Amino acid sequence: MILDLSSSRDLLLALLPELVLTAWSLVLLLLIAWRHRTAADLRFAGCVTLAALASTAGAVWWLWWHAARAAPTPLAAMIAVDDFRFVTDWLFLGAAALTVLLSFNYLEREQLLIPEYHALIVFATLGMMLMGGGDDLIVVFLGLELLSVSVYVLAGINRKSAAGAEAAFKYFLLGAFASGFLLYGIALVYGATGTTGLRAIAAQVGAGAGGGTMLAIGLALLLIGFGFKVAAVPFHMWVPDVYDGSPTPVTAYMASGVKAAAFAALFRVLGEAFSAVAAWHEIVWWLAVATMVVGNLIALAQRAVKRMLAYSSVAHAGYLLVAVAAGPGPGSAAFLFYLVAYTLMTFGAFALLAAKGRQGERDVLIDDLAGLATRHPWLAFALAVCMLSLLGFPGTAGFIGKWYILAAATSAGQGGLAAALVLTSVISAGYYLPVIMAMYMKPEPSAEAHVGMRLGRLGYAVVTVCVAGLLFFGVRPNRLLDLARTGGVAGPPAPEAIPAAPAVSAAHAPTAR
Amino acid sequence: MPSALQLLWLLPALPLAGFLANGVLALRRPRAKHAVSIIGVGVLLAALALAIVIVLAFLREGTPGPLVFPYWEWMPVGDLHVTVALQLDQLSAVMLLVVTGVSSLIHVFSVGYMGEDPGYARYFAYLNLFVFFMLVLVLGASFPVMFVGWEGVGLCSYLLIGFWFNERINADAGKKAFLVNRIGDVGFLVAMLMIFAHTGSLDFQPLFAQAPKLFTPGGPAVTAITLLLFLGCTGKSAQIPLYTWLPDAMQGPTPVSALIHAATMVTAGVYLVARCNVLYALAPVASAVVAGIGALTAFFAATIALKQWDIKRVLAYSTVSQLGYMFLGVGSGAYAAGIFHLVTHAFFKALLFLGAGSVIHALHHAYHATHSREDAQDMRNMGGLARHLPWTSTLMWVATLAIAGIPPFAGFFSKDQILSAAFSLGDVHPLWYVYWLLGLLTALLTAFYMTRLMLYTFHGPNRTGERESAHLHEAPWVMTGPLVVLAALSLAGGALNVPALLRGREWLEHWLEPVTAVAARLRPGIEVPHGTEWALVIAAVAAAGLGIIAAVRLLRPEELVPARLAPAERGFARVLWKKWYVDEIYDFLFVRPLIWLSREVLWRTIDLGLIDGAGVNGAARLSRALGWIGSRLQTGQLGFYVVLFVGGVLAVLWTAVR
Amino acid sequence: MYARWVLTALLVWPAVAAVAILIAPPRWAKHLGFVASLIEFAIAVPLWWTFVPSGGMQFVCDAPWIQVPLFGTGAPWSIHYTVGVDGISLFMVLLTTLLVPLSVLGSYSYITTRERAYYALLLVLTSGMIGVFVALDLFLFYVMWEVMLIPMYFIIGVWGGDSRLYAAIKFFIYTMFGSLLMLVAILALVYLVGQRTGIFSFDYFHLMRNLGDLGPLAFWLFAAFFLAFAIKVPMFPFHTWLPDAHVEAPTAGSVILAGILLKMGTYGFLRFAVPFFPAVALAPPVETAIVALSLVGILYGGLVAMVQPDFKKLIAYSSVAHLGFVMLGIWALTLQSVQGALLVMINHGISTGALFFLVGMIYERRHSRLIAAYGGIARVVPLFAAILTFVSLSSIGLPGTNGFVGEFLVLVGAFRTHPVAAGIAATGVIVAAAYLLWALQRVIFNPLDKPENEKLPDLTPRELAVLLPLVACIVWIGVYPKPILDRMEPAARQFIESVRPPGPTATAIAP
Repeated sequence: MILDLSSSRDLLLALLPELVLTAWSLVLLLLIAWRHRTAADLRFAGCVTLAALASTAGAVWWLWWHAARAAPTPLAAMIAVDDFRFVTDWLFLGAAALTVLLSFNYLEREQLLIPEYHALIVFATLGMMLMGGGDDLIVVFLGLELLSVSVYVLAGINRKSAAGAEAAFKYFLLGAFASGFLLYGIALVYGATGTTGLRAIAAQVGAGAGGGTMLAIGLALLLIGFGFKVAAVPFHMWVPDVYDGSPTPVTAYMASGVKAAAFAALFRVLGEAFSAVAAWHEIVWWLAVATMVVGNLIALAQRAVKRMLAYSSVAHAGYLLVAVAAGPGPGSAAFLFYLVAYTLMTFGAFALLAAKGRQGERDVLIDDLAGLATRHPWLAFALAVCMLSLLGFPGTAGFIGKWYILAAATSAGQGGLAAALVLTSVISAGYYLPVIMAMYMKPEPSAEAHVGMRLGRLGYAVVTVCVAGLLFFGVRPNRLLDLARTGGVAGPPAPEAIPAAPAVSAAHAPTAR
Repeated sequence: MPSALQLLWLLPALPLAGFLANGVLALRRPRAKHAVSIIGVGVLLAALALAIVIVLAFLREGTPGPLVFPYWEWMPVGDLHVTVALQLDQLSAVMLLVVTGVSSLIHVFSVGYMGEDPGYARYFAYLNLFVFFMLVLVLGASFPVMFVGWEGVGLCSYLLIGFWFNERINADAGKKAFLVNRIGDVGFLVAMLMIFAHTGSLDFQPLFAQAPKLFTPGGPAVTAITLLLFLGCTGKSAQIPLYTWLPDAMQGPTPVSALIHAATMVTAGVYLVARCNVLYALAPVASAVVAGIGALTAFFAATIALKQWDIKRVLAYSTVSQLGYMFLGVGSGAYAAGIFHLVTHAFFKALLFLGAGSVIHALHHAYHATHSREDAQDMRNMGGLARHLPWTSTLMWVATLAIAGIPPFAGFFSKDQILSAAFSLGDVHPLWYVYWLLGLLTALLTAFYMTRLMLYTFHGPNRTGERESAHLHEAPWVMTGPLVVLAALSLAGGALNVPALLRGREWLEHWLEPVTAVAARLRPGIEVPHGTEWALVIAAVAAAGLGIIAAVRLLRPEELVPARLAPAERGFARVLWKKWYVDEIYDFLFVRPLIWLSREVLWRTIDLGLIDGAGVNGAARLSRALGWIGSRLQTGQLGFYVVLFVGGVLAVLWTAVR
Repeated sequence: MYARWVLTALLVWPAVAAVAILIAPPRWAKHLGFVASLIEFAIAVPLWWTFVPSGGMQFVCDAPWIQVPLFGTGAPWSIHYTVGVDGISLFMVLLTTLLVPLSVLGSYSYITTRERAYYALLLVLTSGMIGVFVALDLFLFYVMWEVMLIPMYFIIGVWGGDSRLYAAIKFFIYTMFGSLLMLVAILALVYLVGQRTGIFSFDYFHLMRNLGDLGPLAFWLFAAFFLAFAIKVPMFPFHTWLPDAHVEAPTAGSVILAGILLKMGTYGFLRFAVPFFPAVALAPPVETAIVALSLVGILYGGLVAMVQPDFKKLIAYSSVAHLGFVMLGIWALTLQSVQGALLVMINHGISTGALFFLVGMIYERRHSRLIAAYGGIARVVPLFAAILTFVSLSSIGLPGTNGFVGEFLVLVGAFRTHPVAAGIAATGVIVAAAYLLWALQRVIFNPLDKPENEKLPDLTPRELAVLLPLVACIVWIGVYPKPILDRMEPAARQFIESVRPPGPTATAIAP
C-alpha cells in the first residue's frame, strides 16, 4: 500500500511500529513504578518487554505484508518506508529479545533486581528503529541519542561493580564527544545543501549544489560519528573497556544491536544521500583496513575470553566496513545477511560466556575452558560452532556472510579489500581456534573446573536458537539471502559505476595504493 | 615352432615359485629344512633341465634372429609401448646356460654350507629370487624388462650380503652395495630416457635393427647413451669408479659371493655391453672408454689383491680385475671374446670361491669346536691345509692355473683372445697398446696373487693352531661335488672357443655371430698376422708363468705368523693393504659432506631455521608481538583515548578535503 | 540410477554413518566405523567397471543449491551442487574409499579415548575428501576443501602426539592461509566471467569455457590458486607444516594426510589451476620456477629425510620428494609424464600409507618413533620386517613395484620436454634409496642391542589385514598397471590438450 506521508493518518501508519513500542514502554514504566522489588517483578517486567517486542515485530510485519511504500512527496519525508527499515527493525527487535531472554538468569544471578533495565532496553531499541528508519539526519541523530543514553545507563547498570561504572563513564564521555562530531557534521551538511533530508541532500548533490569542501568535511564528521558507534579504528578505544565492564547481556546487545543500528544508519545515509559523493570511499577504505588489521592483531594478544570477543567485534566491524566500501547497494544486502549471522554467533558466544562466568566473566580466560568438551559436550559444541562461525568457516552462517561481503567487494572492484579481509581472517584463526583447542584438546585442570556452569532453560533456548540458525543458514541461506537482497537500501547502486575486469586490481584510487 | 620354446616363460617362473614357497616357509616354518632344500634346489635343477631343452630346441630351430615372446602390455601410454616380453637369442642362450648351470651347482653346495644356519629357508628364498631376476635380466626383450632384472639382482645381492643382518658391518656392506649400484642404475635409467626420446622405442629388436639408421655414428646422442649405459655397468660390474662395493660384499655367505659376486650378477654389465654391441659399435669413443676403464680396473684391482689377507677379499679383487678384462674385450669390439671370458671366469671363479668356502667352512668348524674367536677367513690363520683338504686344494689349483691363463686351462683361451683383440686395435690408435700392456701386467699380477693365495692357504706349515688343526677336515660331498664339476669345466671350458690359430673352430664366435653381425659390419675387427699372434700368446703365457714362479720364489709361507700376532703392514704394502685408501677418500669427499649438508644446512638451517623459524613461526610471533603492543596502548586512560580519537579525526578530515 | 546417485551416496553416507556412531554406544564405535567405511568402499568399487574411459565427466549429478541475485550485477549468482568424476578424480575417489577402511581398522588398538568422536570425525573427513575430488562447482569445491580441515584438525589435536596442539593449529592456519586467497580468486573469476557472459555461475565447465583472456589479472588469480594448492602438495618452501602434522597425527591421520590430503593439491593443479590459466602456468618464468621447485622438492626432501631421527618425519619429508615427481610430471605436460604423475599420486598414497601404518604398528608396541630406539628387530618380528622392506622398496621405486612405473613414466615424459630436469630428477632415485635403506638398516637390521626390543610381538592378523591389501596393490600396479593407465589416458590427454594444443613435443620420432 502507498502511504502518503503528508497525510497524518498515513504518517501514523508508517510510524506504527515505533508508536506501538513507545506505548509499551510507557506501560512498562508504569508497571515498574510500583513493582520493582523482587526477582518476580523483574521477571514480570521481562515478560512484558518480550510482549512489547513481539507486538512491535507484529506491527512491522503488518506494514511489510502490505508492502508499505511512501508516496513521492514534495516535502522531505522524515521516516523511510521500505524493506530495509523493516528488515533492520526485525533485527533490532530480535537482538533485544535475545538480550532479554539472556538477562533473566543473569540479572538474578548477579543480584541486579532493577526492572528499569528492561525499560532501558526498550528505549534503546526504539532508538535503533529510528536510526534504521530515519530518512532525515535529524531523526537519525534523535534515534542515536535515544539509543546512546539508554545504553550508557545499561552499561553502568551494575552499581556494585566499579568496572561497570568506569565503563559507563568512559562510554558516556567519549559518546558525547562523538555525538558532537556527528551533530556538527549534520550542521555542515545542512549548510552545504540547505537540508537535512537524505533524499533532498541527494537531490542537491545531484544538482551540483553544495560546495565540495564543506560537504566533504560534513560527510567526514558524520563518518567519524558513526565510526565511533560502529567501533571503527581509531575510534574504537572505548570498546574493550566498555564491553569488558558492562554486564554480559548488555555487551552482547551492544556488540550486535547497537553496532547494527549504527551501520544501518550509515548505509542509509551514504546510500540515499551521498552515494554520488566520492569523498567517503577512500575514508571508508582506510577505516576498514585499519579496523580489520588492528582488531584482529590485538585480539590475538588477549587471554580473557570477553576481551578477546570485544576485539573480535572490532574486527567484525572492519568486515562490515568492507561491505560499506562495496557500495550501499550490494553492501547493505551483504550487511543485512552478515548481521543476522553475526547477531546469532555473538549472542551464542556471550550467552555461554555469561554461563561460564560467576560474578565476573571478565576473569574467564581462554584456558579456563580447558576440558569443557568432556564435561559439557553440548555447550562446548555450541561454543565451537560460534567460534567457527566467527572465523567464517564453511558450513556456518558466518562463512556465507563473509562470502557475501567478499562477493560484494570483488564485484565492486574492491579486490584489495577482499584480500585484506581474508588475510586478516587468517589472523583471527589464531585466537578463535585456541578456544576450541582449550575445550577439546586440553585436559580439565581439576574435576570441579566447570561445576556451576549453568545457563538456565532460557539460556539453553537462546544458545540452541543461535547454533541451529548458524548451521542452518550455513547450509541453506537461500531465503535469508533473498530477504537481504530485497532489504538492500534503494539508491543508485555503486558497483556498475566501476569498470569491471581491471577494476579488481587497478580501479579504485585507494586500492591502487 | 617347437613347444619347448613356448615354455620360455617357465624359466623365470620356476625360481620365482621357489622364492614364494621358501619365503612363506621362512616366515612360517623356518625349521622345515628338508622341504626348503627340495624346493630350493629342485626348482633350479628343473630350470637347468628346461634351459638345456630350450637351447637344444633353439639349436634345432636354427633361426638366426632372436625369438621374442610378448606376454602382456606393461606400460602402454601414448606412443610408449613397454611390453613384458622375453627374448631368446644366441647371446641370451649362452647366459641362460651359465646362469642356470652355475646357480644349480651353487645351490647344491649351499645345502651343505648353510646347513646349520637358522636362516636356511630365508637364504634359499633369496637365492631363488636372485635366479629369477637374473633370468629376467638375460631374457628381457627390452630395456625396461631388463632393468627389472638389473635392479632385482641388485636387491638380492643387498639382501644376501646383509644376510647375517645382526652384525652392523654386514648390513653396512649390503646398503653400500645397493646404493653404489643405484648410482649406476641412474645411468641406465637416463640412458633409457634418452633412447626413448631419440628412437621412440625401448625394445631391443627394432631398436638394434634401426640403430644404424637412427643414430649418426659417433654422434653425441649415441655416445651419451652408451656412456650412461656403461655407468650402469660400472656399478653393477664393479668397475672404476664404482667398484668399492664388491670387496665389502664378501660379508655375505661364501656361496653368495661365488654366485652373485663372481659368476653371474657382476657380469651383467658385460652382458649389457655385448647386448648393446650395435650401439657401442656406433660409438667408438664410448667403446674406448669401456676398454680403458676395463684395463685400468683390471690392473688397479690386481695390485690391491696382492696384499689382502682375507682369502675372500683376494678373490673379490681378482673378480674386479677379471671383469676389467671382460670390459677390455667388449670395449675392443671382441664381444665374443668378452662373453667367452665371462663364461670361463664364471667357472673358475665360482670354483675358487666355493673352494675358499670349504676352506672357511673347515676353519670355522675347527674354531667353533675349540670356541676360539679367530678369523676363519684370514690366510695367516691357514697354511698347509692341503693335507687336511686334499680335494679342495687340488681343485683350487686347477682354477688357479685357469685364471692365471696357463694353457690348456679355460682362462688361457679367453684371456688370450681379449689381449690380442686389444693389441690388434693398436694401429687404429696407440692408446690400445697401453690397454694391452695393462692387460699383460694384470696377467702377471693375477698369476702372482693367486699363487700367493694358494701357497699361504694350502702349503707351508699350518698356522691354525694345534688344537684346531685336529678338527680340520674335508667338506661333505654335497660341497665337493660341485667343485669337481666346476673344475672339469674350468679345465675344458676353453674348448668352447678355440681360436683358429690353434686350429680351433671358434665355436662360440660363430654361435654369437648373428648377435654381433651388425656391429661387426660397422666395426670390422683387424686381422693380425699369425706371427704377431703367436708372439702375443707367448707373451701372455710368459707373463703368467713369470707371476707364478716369482710368487713361489719370493714368498715365504713358513715366515708367516697367525693374524692375531701379525705386525701391521708398513710402507707401500700398507697402501695396497688399505686398498689405496679409496674408501676413505670417497667417504671424505662425498659421504660425509652430503650428510653434513643435509643435516646442518638443509634441515637445521634452511628448514627449521629459515622457512619454519623465521618465516612461519616468525610471522606468527610478529603478529602476536604487534597485538601485544596494541593491547599495551589500551591504557584505560580516557585522555589518551581522546588523543587517538582526535588523531583519527584529523586523518579523516585530511583524507576528506585533500 | 547408480550412475546418477553414486557420488552423492559416497558423499552423504559417511556423514550419516558418523551421526549413527555418535549416538551408538562407545564400544560399538570402531566396528560401526569399519562397517560403514567398508560399505563406502563397496559403493565406490563398481565405479571401476561402470566408468567409461573415453566418457569424460561421468556420474554427474547437478542440482541448484544457492541462488543469490546479486544486486547491481542483476543476474543471479548461481551455486549448484554439481558432482562428477573423470579419469583423474576416479582414482582419487577409489584411493580414498580404499584407505579409509584400512585406516579405521588400523586405529582399532591405537585409539583408546573418545572413540565415538574419533571414528565419526574420520567418516566426516571421508565425506569432505570425496567432496573435494568430485566437486564440479567451485563453491562446493571450496566448501569441501575447507570442511575437511576441521576433522583433521581435531584428529591431530585430540589424538595426536606430544606437541599436537602446535601441529594442529599450524596445519589449520597454513592451509587456511592459502585457501582463503583462493576463495577471493574464485569470486573474482566468477565475477569476471559473469561480466562477460551475463551468467554468474560457479560451474566448473562454464568457467572453463568462458574464461577467455584475463590479461594481467590472470597472473594474480593463478598465484592465489597456486598458493592454496602448493601449500597442500606441499611444494618447497611451503612444506613445513607437513612434518609436524605427520609426526603428531595418529597413524590413521598420517595415512590419510599423506595418502589423500596431499593429493588434493596436485589434483587442484590438474583440475583448476593449470586448465584455468594455461597461459600463466606455462609462461616460461613461471614454468621454470615451478619445475625448479619440484626438483628442489625431490632432492631437498630426500636429503632432509635422510637425516631425520624420527621415522615419521623421514616419511613426511619423503612425501615432499614424491610429490615433487608429481609436480614435475604435471608441468612436463606430456602424456607419459601426466599419467605418470597421476600414477605417482596413487602409488604414494599406497606405499606411504603402508609405511605410516607400519610405523604406527611398531609405535604401538614400543611407543617410540625414533629410529635410534630400534635396531635388529628383523629377528624378533620377521613378518613386520619383510613387509616393511617390501613397502620401502616400492617407495624407492624398485622395478616390479608400483613405485617404478610411476616414476619411470614421469621421467620418460619429462625427458622429452625438460631433459635436464628429468636427468636431475632421476638422481632423486639414489637419494630415495639412501634415506629409506639407511633407516631400514637402523630399524630392522644391525645388532639387536636394545633389551626392550627383544620381546616385540610380530604383526597380528588384524594388522596383516590392514597391510596385505596395500601390498597387493603395490604388486598389481607394479606388474600390470594397464587397466589403470587405460582408464586415465583420455582424461590426461584431454588435460594436455586443454592446456596446450598437441605440438611437436607430444609426438615421438618413432622408428
